[in-house]
Order: sequence, then structure tokens, then C-alpha cells
Amino acid sequence: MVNRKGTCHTVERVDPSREQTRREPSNSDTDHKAQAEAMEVGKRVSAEVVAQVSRFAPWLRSHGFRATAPETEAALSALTHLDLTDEGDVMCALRAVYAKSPAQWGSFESLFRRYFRGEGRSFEEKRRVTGGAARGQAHKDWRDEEQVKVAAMSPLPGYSRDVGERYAVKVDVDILKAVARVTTRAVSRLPAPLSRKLEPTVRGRVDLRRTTKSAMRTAGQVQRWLWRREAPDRPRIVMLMDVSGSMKPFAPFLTTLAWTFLHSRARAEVFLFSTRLVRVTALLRRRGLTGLSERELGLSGLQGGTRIGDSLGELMDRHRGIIHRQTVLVMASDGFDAGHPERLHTAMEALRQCALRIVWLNPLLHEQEYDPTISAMRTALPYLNAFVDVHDVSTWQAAVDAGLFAESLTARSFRSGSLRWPG
Amino acid sequence: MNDGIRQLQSDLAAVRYVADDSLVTALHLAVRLGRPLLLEGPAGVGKTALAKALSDVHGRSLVRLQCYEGLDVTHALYDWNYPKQLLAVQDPRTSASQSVYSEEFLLQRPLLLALRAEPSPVLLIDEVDRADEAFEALLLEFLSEFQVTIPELGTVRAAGRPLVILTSNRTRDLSDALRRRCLYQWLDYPGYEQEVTILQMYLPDVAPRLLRQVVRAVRRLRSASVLKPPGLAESIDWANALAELGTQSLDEETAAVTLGCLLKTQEDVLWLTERGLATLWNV
Repeated sequence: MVNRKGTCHTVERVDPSREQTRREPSNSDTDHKAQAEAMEVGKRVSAEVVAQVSRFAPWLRSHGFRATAPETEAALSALTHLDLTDEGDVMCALRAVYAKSPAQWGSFESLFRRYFRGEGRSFEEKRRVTGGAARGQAHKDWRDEEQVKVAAMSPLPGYSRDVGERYAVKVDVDILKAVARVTTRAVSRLPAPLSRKLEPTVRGRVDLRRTTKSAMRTAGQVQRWLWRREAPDRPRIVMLMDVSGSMKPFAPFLTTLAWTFLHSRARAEVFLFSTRLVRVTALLRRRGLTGLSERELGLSGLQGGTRIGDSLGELMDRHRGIIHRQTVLVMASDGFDAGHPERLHTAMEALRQCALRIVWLNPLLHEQEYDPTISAMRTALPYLNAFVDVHDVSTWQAAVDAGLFAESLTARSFRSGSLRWPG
Repeated sequence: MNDGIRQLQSDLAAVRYVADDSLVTALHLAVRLGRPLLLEGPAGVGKTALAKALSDVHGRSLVRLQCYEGLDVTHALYDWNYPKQLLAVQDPRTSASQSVYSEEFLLQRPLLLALRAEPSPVLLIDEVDRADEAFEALLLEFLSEFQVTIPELGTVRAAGRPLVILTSNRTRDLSDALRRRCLYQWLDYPGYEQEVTILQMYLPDVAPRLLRQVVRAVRRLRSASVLKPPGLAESIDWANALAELGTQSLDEETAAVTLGCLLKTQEDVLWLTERGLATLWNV
């Protein structure tokens, strides 16, 4: 479209991988429609620009953008109001049209440059180094003292940023019904504060709308007063799900649990975390059943070595508004943390002050050998309202039956079986 | 940069709003394309102020709808004047053909006011994330067609399209349907030089050295884990307070007594005092 010198750029730089992406059959009808609609706008911009923008949309879609025909039409309309030789303006305009979230906003500029200028890194496999592989490498090059030294001084696998398994998350449809049934029961037991919405009732405030309508039938004479009052609000749940490598076996169940929260009566938000926090509420609600790859979830930027404290700190810093005094925070994690305990301590303290209740679901708690004495768990335990073993449908049901979400949650509720009360 | 965009940027600067190229391009397009502009970003970066600045620049009135949980059609769009209706029905002078569901009994709320106002105003739908999902659905027809349907009256269309600015602090995710109807702009805290320029604009009599110190200190607090990071308004308030006290350069004594302009929770004040106020300006 434009190049850095400000002159018209007519031929795009294309690499084979990108070309392949552009030929994706999906949404081709939409693109044809966009192109047809763009013809109108195209009378004001050159056919070449129309073609370039129309081809840009499917490429953006392959990077997680919802770039559909109306967006392309709006993008072309926007270009008619700009000086097309100014690359900055063009980028800003296309970003305003196509980006719909802060994450997309942040990545758009580099995607724009990659597409139109062929700049930046192209697709590159992330390096994965496992502990075993690292050790094997050290043995193989035993004579190379320098490499041995490097291997010896490298951090333990659980603490290394290079080590870490990323995986797709998907709802387990086999257990979905059973989990949903229990979740519905759990949510119904959560405290529901009064909202500002009003509902008809037999006592409360006068409902003028209904009273007037009723009076119309009797020539404006009010025969009976109708009342309304504040309706109960939906309970609020924020679920944080650990997606570190050690949690992989429990991911299908926990994803199913998160999905059922999202489709329950509760006002729920879901985050994934390991080294940082990713908000996945909308994605999981929409596509949890079909499964989400690590790229779609934006997890490719995550590194190895879970940082629970940093992730919770990020929750407080960036999403402080969703932690109300009516919010029940559900943490699902095995508690293995490579971060600094002080960070976790600070974050838990802040969360304790803001949230109604903090519940920690630890899938390892049922194992005989497991004792929550690791540093992170020791730090977090004093701030928890409940610390329970939940790793499948039966343990989830047991926790709910024991009163995990009951309004009058007491320590005594969690002293039996595999359910534990912190401290 | 396009002349129209440059002109808008200088017009905004004239009403003391410093907008970068990206923001001003999005604004220019929102005006030219007649599309709503959705602004997201942390609290205190100037999202609401932008709507006020735009109304000044374009000489249009500003209609503001502050969203909150439980906001419904009767508070956002229209309501009927029920006591007046009851009296009218009982009044023997009222003819049988006269409807009590007419303009005479209609109470206009901000959205309807914005549709009917001439010239078309700047409509600010503030903190839309605080409203319920049901309210978002109500906005869909409004934002795409610039019309609303009142069952008793019919469809009301805008005489001229209002310039709509929606703001959100991301306390919840907005629906895709709403996002698709808007142009999108992420507003973050301003850069160092930009914030100094803004402070100089608001406080031209304050020593530039002090303003730079204030901006550095505020930026340091934003990067720390405080519960309520200071926004632009706090920067301006603090610099103003320091200037009022005749401060030429930041020191512990003045900072301690003016901390309330900057930090808004006791936890944050404790956090800072434990680390020492000098952390605000010491490297």
C-alpha cells in the first residue's frame, strides 16, 4: 500500500507461509462479499488498495482477529479519508477498525508491518527444552566443559523460563452434564446481593408503570397499588486456572468446570495463568467445546516456571474492577510456584481485602504423599477461606455437598474427609 | 498526516487536550464515518475528558449517560410521566381520542435526547462495562441505525448522527456485537514528555523542573503495585497543590502533606511511607 519513503507501493511482499494462509477456504464467501461491497468504496480508492485490504482481512483472521466483511468495508471507507502515502495514518486507521481488544491493539502494528512490509519475525517454533533433554545434552557433550558448566548452572526445570509445556484447553464433553449439574447447585448456594434492578413483589416501592397501566382500565382510578423491590443479583465468580505443565492432567476437568461457571447463573470471569495472566472469558464461552489452541489463547508468550504471585498481582493491577466485595475467587492450582513468596504474600493480602471469599482447589490434595508445605501454599493458606481437593466430578460434588459455596461457610464444614480447612 | 487530522489535533490542543497521532486519527475517522468510538484503558487517562474536549471543538452540546449496574430503558432511553397520565385520564376535559402515550407525556432520557437534539450532540456513554449485558443489547440498535423503537410511539430516528464516545474500564468484557459497531482505541497512560506537556498546559505558571519531578514520581508509582495507580487528574492535582504551597522542588516534608492528592487508599499510603517517600524521586 505504502512504503517507508512515502511513495505508492503496488506489489506486496509475500512469503509462502503467508500466501498459504491467505488461500484458506474458510470465510472466502465473506471475503468475496467484502470485495463486492468494497467496489462501491473502491470508486474512491484504487482497485489495488481494495484488493490489498480485502486480502489483509483473512490474514488477520488467521491471527485471531474477527475481521469480517463489515470491518473490511469500514476499513476501505476509512482509507478514503486519509492520505494513503502516510503509513502511520493508514496503520492507525486499520487498527481502529480491526482491533477490538487491548491484546489485538498491542499486536496490530507488528502484524501490519509484517504483512505490508515483510518486517519482523515470521512464524518460528518456540524452543522447548525439557529437563531430560538438557541433561542428555550435557552427557553427550561431556568433554565440552563449557557446556557442562552451563548445564550445571542452569535453573531446575520447574524454575526455568525455557522449560514449560503449553497445551490446548478443551471442555471434556463426557463429564460436562455431570459437572454442570453440580455447578448449578454450587452457584445457587452462593450469596446473592441485591441488585439495582427492580422486580414485582407484594411489598416494597410503588411500581408506577404497572399501577398506572392497571388504573387505565378503571378510568384512571387507582384500585390497587402494585409494588416492586430490588431483585437479587447474580453471584460473582472469578476463576483462575493454572495451566502450567504439572496441571495438564487436570486441565480437561478444570476447563469443563470453568465453562460451566460461564454458563451458569453467576457472573463469571475466567483467567488462565502460569508466568502471566490471560483473560479468556469470551473465548472460552464461545469456543470452549471445540477446544482452544495455545495460540488462540495467547499462551504462546508464556514461559516455564509458574509465577502465581506475579499472576495474582497482575489480576489486581489490571483487572481490579472485577474483584468486588461480593466476588468469590476460585483458584485452581497445585501450588507449585517458582516466583518470590513475597509477591504471592502481597497479592494474597490485597485479594483477601477485596474479595468476599477465596477458595483454592488443589487437585493434588488427595494424594497421600502431598502435603501443602511448599513455600507458595504455606504463604497462601492463611488467606484462604477453603482449601479443597477437587480434581474430578466426584470430588467436585463432595466439595459442594460439604458446603464449599454455602453462604455460612465455616471452618467446621471442611474438617472431614479430603476437604481441608486452611490452617 | 492528513490536513483534517492535523487540524483536529491542534483544535484539541487549543481546548487543552493532548492527543497522539493514533487517537486523533481514530477520532477523525469516527467523525467522518459516523461510527461510535469505543475507548478502553485504565482509569484516569482522559477517556471522559476526550468527549468534553470534542464537544468544545465541534461546538456541540455534550449529552452524558453514566452507566451503572441495573441501568435500564427507563433511565437511559425514555419513560412515561405516570402521575401526569393518571391525572389526564381522570380529567373530564381530556377528549377520548387523546392518547396518554404521546409526546406530551414522554420523559426523554439521555439516549433519546441525543437522537433528537439539533445540531447533533456529542454523546458520551461512560463506563459502559458497568451496565448489564441487557443494556448492551439495547445499545445495538441505537449504535448501528441511530434509531430507537418506542412501542407506544414508533421508531425515532436521529436527525443528524450524534458523535458517540463509549468508554470502558474493562471491569467485564463487552460483547462482540457491541465492539463490532464501534471503532476501537486503547488509551494508556501518556508518555513522559506527553504528560509534561499536559501539565504545562494546565499549570503554565509552575516551574518546569517541578512538573518534570512530579511526572517522574507519578510514573514510578504507576509502575509499582499500588491499588489505585494515579491518573492524569491526580498528577495535575498534585502539581497544583505543590505549586500552591510554593514548592520549587520535591522534598519529603511537602510530599508527605500532599500525598492525599496522589494516593487514594490508606494501603497505598502505607505502602509508600514504609518504603520512604524519597523513593518517588530517588533513582
